[in-house]
Formats: sequence, structure tokens, C-alpha cells
Amino acid sequence: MKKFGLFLFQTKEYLILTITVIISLILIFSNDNSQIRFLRGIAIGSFGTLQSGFSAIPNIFEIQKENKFLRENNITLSNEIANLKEAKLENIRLTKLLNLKQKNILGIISGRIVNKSLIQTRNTITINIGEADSVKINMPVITDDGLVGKIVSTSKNYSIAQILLNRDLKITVKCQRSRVDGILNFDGFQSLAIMNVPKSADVNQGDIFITSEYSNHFPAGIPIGTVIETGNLDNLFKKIIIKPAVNFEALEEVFILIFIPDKEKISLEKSLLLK
Amino acid sequence: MFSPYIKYIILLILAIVIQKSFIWLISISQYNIIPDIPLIIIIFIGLKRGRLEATISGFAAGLIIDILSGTFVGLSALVYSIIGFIAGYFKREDDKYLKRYYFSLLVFILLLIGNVIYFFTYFQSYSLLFLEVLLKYVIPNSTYTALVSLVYLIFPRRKQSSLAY
Repeated sequence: MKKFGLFLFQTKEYLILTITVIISLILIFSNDNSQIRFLRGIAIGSFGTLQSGFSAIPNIFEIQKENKFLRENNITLSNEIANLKEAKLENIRLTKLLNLKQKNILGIISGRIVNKSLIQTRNTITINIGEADSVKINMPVITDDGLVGKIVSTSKNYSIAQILLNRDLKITVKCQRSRVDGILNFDGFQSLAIMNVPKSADVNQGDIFITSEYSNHFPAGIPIGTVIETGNLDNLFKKIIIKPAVNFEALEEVFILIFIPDKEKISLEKSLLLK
Repeated sequence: MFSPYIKYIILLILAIVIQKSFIWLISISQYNIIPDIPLIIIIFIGLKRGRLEATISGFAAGLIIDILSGTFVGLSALVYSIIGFIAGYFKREDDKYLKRYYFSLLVFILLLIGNVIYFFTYFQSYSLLFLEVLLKYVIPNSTYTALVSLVYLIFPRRKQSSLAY
């Protein structure tokens, strides 16, 4: 017994390393269980409070960029105001026609971004609304320009969303004009890419891509971005580069859609996969 | 004034806050190159205190960063624990590896190991080439973190007493 105790004492560093490696591996392989979600909730809540305090500190590099963007936008918006007045009446009529309920959207919650990362491969935003405001995991996050991402973690008063510039987020998309389908993913460097699109597919520069009705997490028709480049991947497929519709650098306010996916469709698809 | 453990805990918390909130201040955002501040602190703890303390603090810091990132929980904890353990091997009574440029060189080598484990696990399901991951992620991030660790050299250190009684 004494010898065993001595052995444990002499190899304590290796034992601790083994334990930490085993715990890490267990966590990696059980990434979405309830205990991890609970831990995430506590961490996001406390860190969100801290970050909302820090968000008051101005980011001088971003302010300069944002000022330039706002000045340009101001000119464009002044011209658009005139057109918007005319479009207002038409908009009311179209909103009724769109009938949000048909798209399973039960409502929209607005939130302010308290922290965001745009320089990593797993970029996220922290929003100052959480479970207390009915925000749930997988809900889509949008702006008036288009899709921002989806919620991946929530606490009582804060939530974290994966944005389009995140390698973990894959979205089923569709070309608005030619109805060509594809799966959109951040390439990890600068842009959004749709890989493995058949070479014969009718996609040109300037085409707009929107969310597809095949998606289980996003309602169909939300703008994603515009095609800026199409290039060959190999002999059979091409790669399409998309410029996001949302300007992530100037993003401050977002809307979360209370979107209820079609459970019958999902369970039918799941049951087929399990067969 | 503080026990060394409290000092290291404060240092680690500070590094995590910087990593998660202010990293844009020192990042080369155009090329996705960001320094890994908590890992510099873990290597420092390894060189000062040894394998045990560095492994435990590496695991704790990695886990917090994973939880705050929202995805792939456990990956940073795994990498930080391993790096902390290896850094502990270089602990010397005379702090040899904390002097001059040894520290940054060690940070670079350990970061290379850590980033290889991290990025190759992270990109396992993507069709990226080994060389592409190495050139675009592993080497730039390791080099930049090593450069940032040079800041340590500008901090004044207490001189060791040479008096003999």
C-alpha cells in the first residue's frame, strides 16, 4: 500500500495529464449534452455581463471604418427615402401577402450585439437577449439586409450566435434567379463559398443567393449574398464565391426569428436515415 | 504580497479576458492571425512551477475558452493541458528558459505542436491540404504568438542575490 502511494506520488504529473486528456476527449466526443449546455449557460451569462460593460469602450479602429461606411450610406439613404415613401403602401400590402405564419415564423425579437469576433475561423456574436426573451438554440439571426447566422448557446440574458463567417455553420442555399442549390460554408479566410456545384449550373456574377426551403433551421428566402466569382474546382464541379449581404463589420443590432421548424418533416427524414 | 498561485490565476483570467474581448487590438485581422495569450501564460507557469501546475492551469484555461467559444468543447483544454505538461519539462532552478530569447523560442516550438494538434483536429472534416493548414494557420499563428511573447523581455526582473553568508 505504501509502495503504491509512493508510486502515485512519483507519477502524479503523468496521472494528472492522463486525467485531463481523458476528460478533454470525453468532452470532445459528447459536445452537445445537457451538462455542457448548462456550463455554457453559466459561463456565457457571467462573461456577457462583463463584455456588455466593455462594449462601452470605443474601438477606434472600427470607428474610423464605420464613419466612412456611415457617410457613404447616408448619401445613399437620402436618395432612398423618397423611394421608400412610395414603397411604404406597397410594403404593407406585401407583408400581409407574405403571411409570416405560413413560414412558421411566430415573431421577431430585436437584440444588441455586446461582443463579436470577425478574425477567427469560428466567428461568433454575443447578443444581449437570452432565454428570458424566448431565445432558443438554432433560431435564425437576421438583419434587414439578410441572414447573420444562428443561435448556438443561450443563458438567461445573453446568447451566442454563429455567424456566416464561421466554419462550423453550413447552410442550404439557392440561387434566386436560376434556383440552383448548394451548401454554403465559410472558407476560413475571407469569403463564403459554395463548393461542388456542377459545372453546367447556371450561376453568374451578380446572382443573389437565398436560404433554401430544404433547410430545417432557416425559413426560405432570406438573402445570403451576391456571387462575386465563379471558378473551377475540378473537371466536374465549380466553386462559387459569395459576398455576404450583411456588413458584419458595422453590425450592431440584429433580429432573432422565432422560427418553428416543421417537426413532421424532420422526424420523417430522421426516421428514414435511421432505417 | 500575493501567493504565487493567486498571481497565476489572476494572470490567466486576465489573459482569457484579453483573448476573448480585446484581441482585435493586436491581431492581423486581414490574414486571420491572432496570438494565443493564455498559452503564453501557461508556458510561463510551466517554466516557473513545473508540469503539475501547468497541466492543471492549461486544462482549466482551455476549458473556459472552449465554453466561451460555444463549439468543440474540450479541444483547447486538451491542447493547453499537453502544452502545459511539455512546458513543465523545461523548468530549471536558474530559470534558464525564461531568460533572453529562449522564452520566445520555446513559445514558438510549443505553439507549433499545439497548433498542429488543434487545427488538424479542427479541420478533420474539411478538404484542406496538410500544407495549406500548416502555412495558413499553424506557422503564422505560432510565429505571431512567439513575437508577442517577446513583450515578456521588457518586464524588469528581480536580480538574484549574490550575497553569501
